Amino acid sequence: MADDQRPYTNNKFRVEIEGQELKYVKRVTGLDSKTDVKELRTGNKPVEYRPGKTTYADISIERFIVDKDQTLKKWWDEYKEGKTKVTRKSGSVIILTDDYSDGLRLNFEGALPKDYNSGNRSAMQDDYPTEHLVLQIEKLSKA
Amino acid sequence: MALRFEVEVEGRKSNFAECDVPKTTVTPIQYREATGTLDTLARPGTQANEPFTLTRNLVSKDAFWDWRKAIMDGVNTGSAASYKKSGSVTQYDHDGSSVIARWHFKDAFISEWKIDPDLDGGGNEILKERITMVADVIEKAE
Repeated sequence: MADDQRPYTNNKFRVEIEGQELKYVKRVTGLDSKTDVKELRTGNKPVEYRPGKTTYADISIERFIVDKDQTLKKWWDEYKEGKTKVTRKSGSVIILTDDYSDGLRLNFEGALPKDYNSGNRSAMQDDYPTEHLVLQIEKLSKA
Repeated sequence: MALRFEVEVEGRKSNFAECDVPKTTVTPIQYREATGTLDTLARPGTQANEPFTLTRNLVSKDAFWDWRKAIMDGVNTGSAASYKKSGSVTQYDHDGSSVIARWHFKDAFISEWKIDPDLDGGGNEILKERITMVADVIEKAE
């Protein structure tokens, strides 16, 4: 990392699924983990808070369709066919430094596709089309 | 919180960009006594501490992450020492040297950890992490 690296920005990142880089990713949302807060209220002392179960937000990956990469579509198809074993995948979201080298890695585990959408087409619409995969995950951590 | 403030956890000072002031709420209980006036009287009831969020620029693994990870992985809730930490939030004057206010929080743990804003190839924002904590005790010290 360059010595003069300033804080990371939200526009330099890349995505890996099972070690394979996914190209042309436009957007990634849902990097969030929540632990339930349990109140322990007993008669003889003030309230005490304790952690309960942890849940993770769905990660959604939006990608420009500008090549024939079928990674997301294939994954969704496997899930639709009920192939749980092969469907559960791990991946990483890597935040990049100013010069596009790897800065910080976030790993997600046990991801299953929940929803896939490749949008509609309109001849008047000249934005690049995107595909959208929503993942339900079982773990998110800093590597 | 404004301009100059400092967050300290277990003696370690950390640099944050934004910080909620820890807040406590007390729900009043209303009551009446039949022989007195017709006024409805009130007394303090249940006390609760609201979760508060500290926001900083995203950094690699550090003590905060280790703390969060322990809670996600499961802790021995019987031994508070293993996952609860204490600290303070200090507000400084514009010159950065004189203390205006200080809040202590005791026996806190991290209940939420979030990266914000979303990653977007067309975005133009600093990437931050929001760390939400809940504490058993909140006191205004100064």
